[in-house]
Amino acid sequence: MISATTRTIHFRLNGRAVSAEVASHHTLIEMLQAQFELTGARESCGQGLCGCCTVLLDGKPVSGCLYLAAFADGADIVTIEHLGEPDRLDPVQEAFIECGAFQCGYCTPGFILSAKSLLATNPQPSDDEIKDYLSGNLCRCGAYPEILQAVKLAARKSKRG
Amino acid sequence: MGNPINPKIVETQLSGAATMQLGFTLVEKMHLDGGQVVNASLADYRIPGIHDIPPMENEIVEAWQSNGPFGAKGVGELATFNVSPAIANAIDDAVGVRITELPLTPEAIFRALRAKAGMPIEDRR
Repeated sequence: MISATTRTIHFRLNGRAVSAEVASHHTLIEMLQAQFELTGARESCGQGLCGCCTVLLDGKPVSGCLYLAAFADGADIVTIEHLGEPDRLDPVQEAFIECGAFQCGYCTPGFILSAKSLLATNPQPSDDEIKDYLSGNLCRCGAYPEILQAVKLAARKSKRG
Repeated sequence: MGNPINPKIVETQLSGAATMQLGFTLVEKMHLDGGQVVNASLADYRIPGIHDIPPMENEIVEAWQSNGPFGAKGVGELATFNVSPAIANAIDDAVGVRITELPLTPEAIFRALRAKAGMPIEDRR
C-alpha cells in the first residue's frame, strides 16, 4: 500500500536497475526479503552484532537489519545471490566449500560477503587482518578455524584468477 | 570415535563443539529475573567470535562401531567434555581456587579468591 509515509527509491540490485516502495521504517533486509524474494541475507540478532544480514552497499559490507531501505536510494547493492553461478562459483564460495567452512550455514552468506569485501581492499590479508575484518560476523557452530583457512585459500585462488 | 565417513565434517564438529563449550565455560550466562531471561540479546549475552579461538588441532582416532551405520557413531558435541575441566584446572593451578560452577568469569574467580582469604563478598539482594 502506498501512503504518505512511503517513498519510491531507485537503486541497482545485483547488477539490475530496480525501484521499490519503502516506508521510512523499513530496513534493507525487510525490503530485500519482502519485495525481491532475496533471502540469502538473514536477520538474526537485529542489532548489527552477528553479521548474518550482511549485504554489500557500494562495495562496502553493511548490516541490512540496521540500514534503512530509504537510504539505499541511488546505491549499488550486491547480495549473496549475485556471487557466482551454480556451475561457476565465486572463488570465495569455492574456498568455503573446499575448507568445509560451515556447519549449519546460517552465517555463511554474511561471512562470504565480508570476506569478499576484505579481499577487494586487501588481496593478501594476514591472519590477524582476516580476524579483525571478520570479527563482526558470528558463527554459532564455531567453524572459525575453517573460515580462516577458507579466506586464505580464497586469497590464493583470486590471485591465480 | 567410530568410522569417520566424512573426515572433514568430523574435524569441524570437533573444533566447533570445543568452541561452543569455550563460550559456556568463559562468558555465556543467562540472567533470569522471575523466570524471564533479561540478557536475551547478543549485546548482553556474548558468544565466541573469531578472536576468541585459540590455535586448535583436531586428530581423528579411527575405530569401528559395530552397531553404527558403516561403523560410524555420532561425533556431535564429543569435544565439549574436556574444555571446562581443562580451564578450571588451569585456574586452580594458577591461583589456587577450584571453581565448580560455570561460567568461569573473572568475577567468579575474584569471589572464590575472596572466600578463600576469609573475606567473602556478600551478595546484595
